Amino acid sequence: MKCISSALVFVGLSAGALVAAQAPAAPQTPAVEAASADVRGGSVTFDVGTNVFAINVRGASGALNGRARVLQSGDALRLEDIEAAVAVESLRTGLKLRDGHMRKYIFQTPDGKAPDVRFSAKSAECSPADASRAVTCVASGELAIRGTAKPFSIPLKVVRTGDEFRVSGDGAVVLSTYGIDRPSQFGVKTNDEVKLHLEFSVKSGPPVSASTVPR
Amino acid sequence: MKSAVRNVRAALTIASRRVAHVTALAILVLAAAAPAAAYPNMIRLHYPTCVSCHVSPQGGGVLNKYGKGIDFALTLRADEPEGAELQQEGDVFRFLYDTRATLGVDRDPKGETEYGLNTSFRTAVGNEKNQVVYAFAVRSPTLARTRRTGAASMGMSRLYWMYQPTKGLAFVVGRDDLPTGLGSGGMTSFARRVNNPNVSSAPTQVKLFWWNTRWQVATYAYGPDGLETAPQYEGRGVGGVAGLNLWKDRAVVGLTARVSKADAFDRQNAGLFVRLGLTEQLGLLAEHDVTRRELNTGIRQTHVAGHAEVFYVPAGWLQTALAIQHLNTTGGASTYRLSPSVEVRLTGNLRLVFSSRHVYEAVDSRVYSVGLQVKAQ
Repeated sequence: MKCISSALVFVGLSAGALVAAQAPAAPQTPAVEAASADVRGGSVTFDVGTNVFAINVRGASGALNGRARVLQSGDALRLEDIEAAVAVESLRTGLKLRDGHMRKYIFQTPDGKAPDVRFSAKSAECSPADASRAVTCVASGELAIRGTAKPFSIPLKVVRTGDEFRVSGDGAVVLSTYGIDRPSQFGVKTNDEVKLHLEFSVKSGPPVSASTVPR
Repeated sequence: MKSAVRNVRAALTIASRRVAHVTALAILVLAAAAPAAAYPNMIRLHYPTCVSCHVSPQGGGVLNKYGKGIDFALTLRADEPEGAELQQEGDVFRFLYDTRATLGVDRDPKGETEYGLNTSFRTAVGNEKNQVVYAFAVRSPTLARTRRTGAASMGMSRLYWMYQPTKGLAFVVGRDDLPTGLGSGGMTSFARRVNNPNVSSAPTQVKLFWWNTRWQVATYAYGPDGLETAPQYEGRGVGGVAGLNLWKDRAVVGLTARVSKADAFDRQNAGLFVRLGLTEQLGLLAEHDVTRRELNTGIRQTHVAGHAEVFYVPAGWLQTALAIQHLNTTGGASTYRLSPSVEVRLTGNLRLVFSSRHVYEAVDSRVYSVGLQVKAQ
């Protein structure tokens, strides 16, 4: 009897140990690094076709400013609270007369002001990094031109090099969406769609909070 | 239909008044042919082709309406002209013209100051598909304090018909400059006196232009214009220019080639060119070619010629450039020219040009020039 009891205890303990060994480990939630990131001196270029073959109007600004909250967990990336702005006075096409014409007919409000072009988005969902280690984040928010905000979405390509993120993106704005008539100058009229290209670098700033992200 | 007829009548009324005014102005002035005032440096502003601003796809010559607006915008007192925002709708009849008078003062430190007055009248008449282009020039003799060189001359310098069946395609028949890579025949004209002497610079020709956002191609065949100094210089030939638009309309690179025959010499030529706008202010223009000539005496000559120019435009109304040109004949003489220039575009009708030319050859020379150009358009 005593032997059987000992054996049963042994078997029970062994079985218990065996079951315990096979049970899955409790999940370890990775730490999420959150940091604010400021953009200074990024660039925006625009390109719009016209009604005349082989004439495009191009311009640029080197004064793209912005801010975002960057949440990073391992290779996963998420952007939150995205704000970006370009001063209208910084947009140049290379011809002063044309710059003035552009500001007057595209960016000027009825009361004569030219508010900054602003973009804001609550968040941008990012895909996993591809073979080139680039992450694509789609920022969906609102773009305000002439004080009028409309839904706007732009995919951003993000590449991390050290503690710096290099970001580029291509989008398009339809002028008629904002109630803006296609401007005409010297007999040439622009198309309704304006292509945009953004480029900027962001250095990860001081952490703002740390949290865990449930899997 | 009625509105089109009204448009044509209105345009003809305006045109006839302008022609009377311009003709009187042209007759009053004795001058020499104004140099082509093309601005290949417009590549700095994302204009990869000349046809954006010029009637002729190869550049130079009369400006179209858009080109006149851009020309106006690049002046010291650029205010937006009235009606600038109006768009020209439809295929309307157009009368485009300009007339220029240029007073030039050249100073050779070793010699006397020389004065010359050039005038030209250029016009393009027609609609979007068919245009006739005409240019007339009058040149004064070169005057110095104690002597006069040359004689007054006048003559038609351009007359051709251009047909544009569709966007990006044009046919030209008539007298005109031959196409070049830089869009300005004046840039390589100094080499012609050696590698293509006595042959007309504006021969009778048939040309085809084809262009899109990526390619610019010109092919041509030409013959004598009847104004050659002797029948042996009546050249006949074929050629082509092909350019590829790179880097977001900021760079065009290409090739040129030409083969011609004349009783005086046969000629083959091939070259490379680049138009580059590094920034909105700074850029480079360069065209270099090799010419092989076989003279009727059996002598063969090889010439290497080129023009390289760095331009800097700190403001639209102030254009500076430094050009270096070379002409080398294998087994023969070499010439190098250094030409800095500054152009001040005061208004749409008035501009000042300061330039100097330093020539390094068997005997070096130097000339300082000031030019005042008055234009009506």
